[in-house]
Amino acid sequence: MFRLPGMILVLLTVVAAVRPVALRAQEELTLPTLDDMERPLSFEELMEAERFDWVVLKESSRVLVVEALLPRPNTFERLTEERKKLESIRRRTQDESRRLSEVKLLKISLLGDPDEYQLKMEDVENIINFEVFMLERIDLLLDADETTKAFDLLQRLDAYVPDWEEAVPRFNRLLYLEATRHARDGSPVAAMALLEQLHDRAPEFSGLSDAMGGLLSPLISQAIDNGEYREARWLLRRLSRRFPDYPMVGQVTQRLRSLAAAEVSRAVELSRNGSRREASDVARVAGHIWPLTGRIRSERSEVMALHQVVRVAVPTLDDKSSFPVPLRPELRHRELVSVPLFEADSVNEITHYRSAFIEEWEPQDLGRVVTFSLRTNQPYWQPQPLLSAGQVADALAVRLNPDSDNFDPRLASFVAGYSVRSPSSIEIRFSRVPLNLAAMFRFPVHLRDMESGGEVAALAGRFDLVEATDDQRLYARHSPEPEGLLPDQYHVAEILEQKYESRHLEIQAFRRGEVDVLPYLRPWEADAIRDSELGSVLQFAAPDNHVIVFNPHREAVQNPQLRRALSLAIPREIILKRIILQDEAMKYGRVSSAAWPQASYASSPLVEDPKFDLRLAFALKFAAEEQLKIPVKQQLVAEARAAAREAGEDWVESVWRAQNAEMLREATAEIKLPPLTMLCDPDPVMQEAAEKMAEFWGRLGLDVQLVYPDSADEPSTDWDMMYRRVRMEEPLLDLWPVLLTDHSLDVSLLAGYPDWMRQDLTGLDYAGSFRVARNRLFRIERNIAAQAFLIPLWEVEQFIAFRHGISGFRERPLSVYDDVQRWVVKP
Amino acid sequence: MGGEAVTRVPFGFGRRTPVVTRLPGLLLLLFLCLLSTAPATAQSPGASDAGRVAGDESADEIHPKDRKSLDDVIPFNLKPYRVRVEVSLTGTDRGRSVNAATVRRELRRALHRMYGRLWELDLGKSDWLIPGTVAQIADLQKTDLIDMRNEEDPLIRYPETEVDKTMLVAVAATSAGFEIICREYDVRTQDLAPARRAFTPDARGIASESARLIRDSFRSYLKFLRRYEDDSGVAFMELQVQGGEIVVPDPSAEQLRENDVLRPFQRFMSRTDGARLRQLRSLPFTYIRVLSIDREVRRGVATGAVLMHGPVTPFGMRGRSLEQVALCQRPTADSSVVKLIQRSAEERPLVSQRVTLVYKLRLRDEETREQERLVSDRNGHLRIPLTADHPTVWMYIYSGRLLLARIPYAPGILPVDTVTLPDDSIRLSVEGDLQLFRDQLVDAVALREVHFSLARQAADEGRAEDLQQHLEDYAKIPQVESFRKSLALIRVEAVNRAVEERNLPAQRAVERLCRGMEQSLDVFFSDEKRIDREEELSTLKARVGLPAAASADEG
Repeated sequence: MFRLPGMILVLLTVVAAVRPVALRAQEELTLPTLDDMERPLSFEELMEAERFDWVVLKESSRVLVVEALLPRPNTFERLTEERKKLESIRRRTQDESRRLSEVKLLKISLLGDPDEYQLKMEDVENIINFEVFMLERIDLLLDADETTKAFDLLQRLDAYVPDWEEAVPRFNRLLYLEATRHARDGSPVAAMALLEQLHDRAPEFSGLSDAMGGLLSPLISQAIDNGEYREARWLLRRLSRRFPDYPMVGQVTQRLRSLAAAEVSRAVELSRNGSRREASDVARVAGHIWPLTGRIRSERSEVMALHQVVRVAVPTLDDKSSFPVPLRPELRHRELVSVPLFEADSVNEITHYRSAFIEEWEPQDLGRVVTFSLRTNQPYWQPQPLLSAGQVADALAVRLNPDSDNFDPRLASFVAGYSVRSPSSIEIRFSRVPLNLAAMFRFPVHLRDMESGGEVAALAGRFDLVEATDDQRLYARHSPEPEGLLPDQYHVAEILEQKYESRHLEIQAFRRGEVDVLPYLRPWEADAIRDSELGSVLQFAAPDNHVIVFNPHREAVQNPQLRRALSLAIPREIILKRIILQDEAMKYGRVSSAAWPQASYASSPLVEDPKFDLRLAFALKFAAEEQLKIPVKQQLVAEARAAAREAGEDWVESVWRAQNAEMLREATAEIKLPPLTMLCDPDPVMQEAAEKMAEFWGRLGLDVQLVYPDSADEPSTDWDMMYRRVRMEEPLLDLWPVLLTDHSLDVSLLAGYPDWMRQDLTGLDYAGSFRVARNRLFRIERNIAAQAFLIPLWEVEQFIAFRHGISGFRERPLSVYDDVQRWVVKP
Repeated sequence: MGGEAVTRVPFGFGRRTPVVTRLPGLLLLLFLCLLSTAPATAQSPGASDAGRVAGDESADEIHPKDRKSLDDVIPFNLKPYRVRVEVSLTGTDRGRSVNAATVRRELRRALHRMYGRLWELDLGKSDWLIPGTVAQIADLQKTDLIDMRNEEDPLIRYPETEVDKTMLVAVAATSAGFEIICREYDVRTQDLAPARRAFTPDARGIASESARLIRDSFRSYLKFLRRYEDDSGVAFMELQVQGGEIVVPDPSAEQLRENDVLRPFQRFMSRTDGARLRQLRSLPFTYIRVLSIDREVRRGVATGAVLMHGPVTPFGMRGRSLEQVALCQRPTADSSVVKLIQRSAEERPLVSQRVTLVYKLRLRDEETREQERLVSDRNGHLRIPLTADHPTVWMYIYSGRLLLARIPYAPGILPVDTVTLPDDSIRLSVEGDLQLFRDQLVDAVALREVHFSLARQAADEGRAEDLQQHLEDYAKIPQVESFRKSLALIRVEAVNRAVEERNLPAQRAVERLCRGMEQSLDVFFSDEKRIDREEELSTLKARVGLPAAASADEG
């Protein structure tokens, strides 16, 4: 705290505030003179002290150190001015008279003295506010280039007197000094930001344009020399926005414009020479050099139209092979390199299918026979080759051959035979009529390896993988579009998947136009990107369902009580709101009771959403643990029974159990539920959700260890549960592989299920009508919910963003590359 | 043979209609006696390709009616088999055709060396199975041999008045050697045995390999003698093998061995013409396992245990004009595929059906080997392996908690079999419903206890508000009426379905299951428990000063 230089006695008339009498001299004090006072005050004192003011008396410039006065700052000037103003009024009102008498007296409190005193203003020569001391110190600090301390003081000063005009020039000077320091230290971007801030505060700040120009000019030149045109333009834009007349702005603009025009000319030349891909690349870069207009722009568009490349930002290209089911990178890859005989066309309550290869499929003989009439021609933009009936027959043969790796036992159980009627016609006879013919033929036609009889590569793909690195995957159209078309008749020729290390970088790349497609928007990003008007944000036709599936090979999760305890202990709504959607209103997601979308025909209206009930979960976990103890207890009972019989004693089991309850409890005290391993999708949001679930399971006393997949050669089998996302096009056929994590459709994997559930599951294949199938699915959904054969969690809408310039996509895509062969990229 | 010369019409492409003339009975009797007592070596094979041993030719010249009388006269245990062996050869041996005559001649010799007098052998080439390829024989169906569907013009390739067994053999020359296939057709039971195959790289091995295949394919024919029980009440059966008194020269061709499996048949003969078969009934999944064979006193009498899937078997019952016979069939494969199908809709295989293989002789015997658990595949198929020392096993077929069927099975005998099981789907679905119902019930009881425990704790600590809250939670838990309604719904739906499908056993099973669950409900929600709980709740409320009227419990 501020201390007086010494105990100096002066004559002062002081009246305690509690005594309402005029100021009279009652005590004598010794006060220092203004010259005796130490100025300027130290940085530490100014930062730590409570505010105080100096009242300088006319009497020998004595100084009274008082608690902070009001009004402030400029207390003396403002009081004097008010007094003069009031005195100049001839006929004052009562209030004005009262106020005049008030302003003639200065009420003060001495530091450390609880009493209040009054001074006649006419005895006061000046009042020096604390803020003035701060300004003095700030000036000194800025002179000494101690910007950090100066900034701290300015901040404190701003807190005392917001936007004080006396502080503004000092703050501007601080910014300038700080920018200079950053420039000197090799942080030009930081320096630039500070200078920009300075410009915003004081455009006329002396030397600002030179500082900014001096800072940016070398950077711009260097960026152009390095071919970093985007950066050069960015720097130039920042300079020109503040100082459009700075000489360098015009020079660089002209240089970039010329460069861009030259590159476009080169691209046109390359295109004429048949190097469309290279030409497209050059033209794309030209667009980065400088925004093109007029003829040059149209030339560039034409070159790029002839070889269109779509750039897709992806978080990963690694499929994490240890994950037992294909992840997004693999699904995208499959979608491009293979085309199934039938693929989903639209999804609402039921899924409708289309075929790129089959023109007609007319069932005959009440559905027991179907003839596939294969396409013999197709539009020029279809990249996949046409298939012959023989090739389809070959593919069918592989799937019907029990010795083949691709044997499909379900299909085999339906197909009684097939015969090739002509090169474009194949007849298939069924032993049972399939309810959904197209869904059953959702497999691609592969080339057969003549030696092994296995399948080696998709015969009919839309795109081929031509280049793959750790960061990129490049796919080229399987059958290029013919030459000689008009530029606007061409479609995408290449797809480049570019990996980004973080979500932030993905979105940044999308904003900058480095990529055209952002395939997996988070629910909370969808609206933001839509509002940014960078392009189109589309919602997928079907949501993703998040589920936890159990490993059918693991004994640990065979116990229904344990599975139910796990399900009941998940706070679905909380996790969905706070982690998955980050939206309390749950606009793009909902809690789910099935592994398929709620809008599906298979969703039963009678099945309620899963409950969150930790108490019941705990009771079930206890029951599951008790079940583990039963064999040991039975063994002990059997031994006791044998001993009793040997000894010729009477045996009543209930009596023995009651008498030996403590012993039985002790003998089984160590038997606990084993720790469980949950494999988790590598998506960071899903990992966070999994951690939250594990936390709640931990509250029950269940030890669930989370395992994240790696890039091992073989899928991991060492897991009890798996948290994954699924998208079922046809629950009737897709449920089995999801429930059992098995594509071999091996019925022996159902061994852990009760017979009634097995009957329901296998009965799906024998549904004779849509109504029967739906009723069975309703029943299965109820069974799944009740016995937790699978834990349904929630369903989340999925979004994809296309930048302006991409067209031809479907309004409700079913997948990332839905109809990709018809996409058009316009620069 | 005097003026009553025996003529035989060569095999044609259509029906085989022998024309024979009557032979005087005395002469015939004398001839047969000579035949049965003649040493085996006396039956030397004829020289001609299509020829027959002398005895065979004589036998062929007997009129059917005389054959009937012959059957009456010659005891079954002395009666040789009339065996027709038809051999076809296709392909060439490295460009040279195989000498069919040589093969047949050698084969005749080999068979004679094996069976001697037990067989009246007629070896030749087929007159209808042309060209007689391996594939043709492999694909042969019973209806290719006998088809009585057209009553006016039935197809009978081998009348039982002429032949007991037919051996169809095909030899195909390939670039690597000779592929041989053999199938036996038993005329009296109209049963076509599975194919057996062999391969020999050398043309000189064709005859011996063929003979071996024929020997292995041959299925002895037995007649039921009696059924009896021993002192401990265990049932046995005695059967007499045909020609059991005739000793075969080659021990490997012995007709019966211990542990052989017999497949029973019932032949209902015409009451007016005892030689005419009126109806043939096979008894699937009924086997007689040979336990002992009398080789000394009553030669060829086998004693066996009868294994059947039902409580009783018609085999062994008395009946006029009823012949009860059996075929001794040995495994041709190391496993059999059994298809399980549902009776109500035969097209529907029973997928993922739990089956346990139990290794024991009779149903009530001790198990001799650890059980094996199987699950039927997507086509309802089960592969039952043949296990050493266990020619028969028991298939225990489960449906939920119900043991649906216990079926004896002899793996390897037939490559494919089908088991038809009753439709248990209604009962099974009710079992599932009740499982879920039980879960809900247990949840409710567990939650009641949790809330009650918390309420007690709150009362102990004097927290009236918490007690009130826990009692309210307690009251929200479904009560007994709600459970009774759910149970009634389950029962009514299932019973209606069973009535609709006229499935009385299912209806009874559903009623039984639901009744059992109702009893559980009564135990869970007994009046005693309810009153005790109400008293406890009143005590808790009184402890914290809550009015007793705010009772939370009703059940």
